[in-house]
Amino acid sequence: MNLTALFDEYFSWWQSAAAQYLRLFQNTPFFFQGMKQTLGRYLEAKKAADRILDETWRNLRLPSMEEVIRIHERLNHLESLLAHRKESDERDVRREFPSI
Amino acid sequence: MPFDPWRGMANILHWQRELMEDYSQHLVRAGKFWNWAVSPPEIRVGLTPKDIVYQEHKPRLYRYHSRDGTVQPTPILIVYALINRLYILDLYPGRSFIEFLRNEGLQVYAVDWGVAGDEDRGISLDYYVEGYLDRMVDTVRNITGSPRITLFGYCIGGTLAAVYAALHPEKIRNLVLLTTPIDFEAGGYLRTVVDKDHFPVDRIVNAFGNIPPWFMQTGFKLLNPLGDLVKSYNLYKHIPEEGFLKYYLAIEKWVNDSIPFPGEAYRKFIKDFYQENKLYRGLLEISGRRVKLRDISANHLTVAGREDTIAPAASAVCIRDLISSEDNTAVTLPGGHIGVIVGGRALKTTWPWMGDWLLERSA
Repeated sequence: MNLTALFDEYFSWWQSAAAQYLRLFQNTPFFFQGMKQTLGRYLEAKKAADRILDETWRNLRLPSMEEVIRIHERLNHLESLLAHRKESDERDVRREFPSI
Repeated sequence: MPFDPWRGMANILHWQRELMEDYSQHLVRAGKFWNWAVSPPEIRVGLTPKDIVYQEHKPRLYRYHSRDGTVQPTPILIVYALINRLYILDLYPGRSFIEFLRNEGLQVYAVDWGVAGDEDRGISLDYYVEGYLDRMVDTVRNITGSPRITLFGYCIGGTLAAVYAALHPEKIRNLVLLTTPIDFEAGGYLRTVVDKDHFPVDRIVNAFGNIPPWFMQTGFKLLNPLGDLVKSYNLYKHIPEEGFLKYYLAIEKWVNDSIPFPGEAYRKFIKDFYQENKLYRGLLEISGRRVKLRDISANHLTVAGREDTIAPAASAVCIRDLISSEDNTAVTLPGGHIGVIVGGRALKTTWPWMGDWLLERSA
């Protein structure tokens, strides 16, 4: 009687049965409704927490997180514009540069 | 049947010996666990030598060094997913698909999307394809002088690669898709979870900006709720095996090293791909252009994993019937989403087979 082999066999049987049961449960409308409600409440709580943080920064006369992110977004955009501008400039330079 | 004392004694001795063997095996495992706990091995990943040849914002394009200078003329560009890290394809020497391709004589390039910051939340999926990816493909073409390249996509990276190949067929010679969902209606439980009835993607993106890794991980855990338990049990079972712990720790490092999914790209990905299945139905638009998979004419190979729950085989192999390539292959191999390319079997069978397929079409 190999105890490890026996345990392996029962573990595998239990895992398969438990997985099937969980899959059944995870496909019920009850599960999806629960997921939707939990997610909804979490998102509301997050929004409220973000609002409080923004207010706190404003009271400290500091820019809010949203404002800082927007500045970074604009810098990103500017970097893209410059990168493309550089490419077209290089092409123009190559075309117009006199041959030696 | 009469009682045979000698036979009874022999049975008891046999059980005793098996118990002792079991016990000694457990001691060996305990010793290995102890060693691991006291001095955990340092796991270094992504070691194949490379240079950065292009960068715009966070995304970077790597060029891997060739082994001895002789390379096939058609370069291969690997496009990885927007979640998780590229180094799953370059774990460590001997377990690196990228190293394998390089050693086969292929010129290997790879896109590393980098870690999206809050400032990247507005970057659209269209820009990932027609901006970043297009410029990286052009960079590879310019460096190598090859007008057409091999595009190799993994997971969502494969979906992006297929979209790109449909929009720019003139730049793609070979298209290789690994565990790539195309028909999202056949996307299994992941598709069910993100159904618009109970998954408010707009509210999620508006609240988070970029989608945090823990949120994505929760979704993957739903696919296999007992996964962590089974993983721990397998670790205990296989820890005495040579090389197992190193592989296990490298995979664990990768699994826990997820990155945020850029918000706007996620919104479009969930809505257009998962909820509306627009790519499969021919209704997807990228930068104002309709994506028609029928326009793909490159030599095509799709590899799907038989046990893949993230991109089920049915959602991947269907591309064979949607494109117009004459050289058109789609296969389902044993393994899950990761195992099909980094598992033990993959090293011995999938890699050489894919290597041969690529070499024949890269000369």
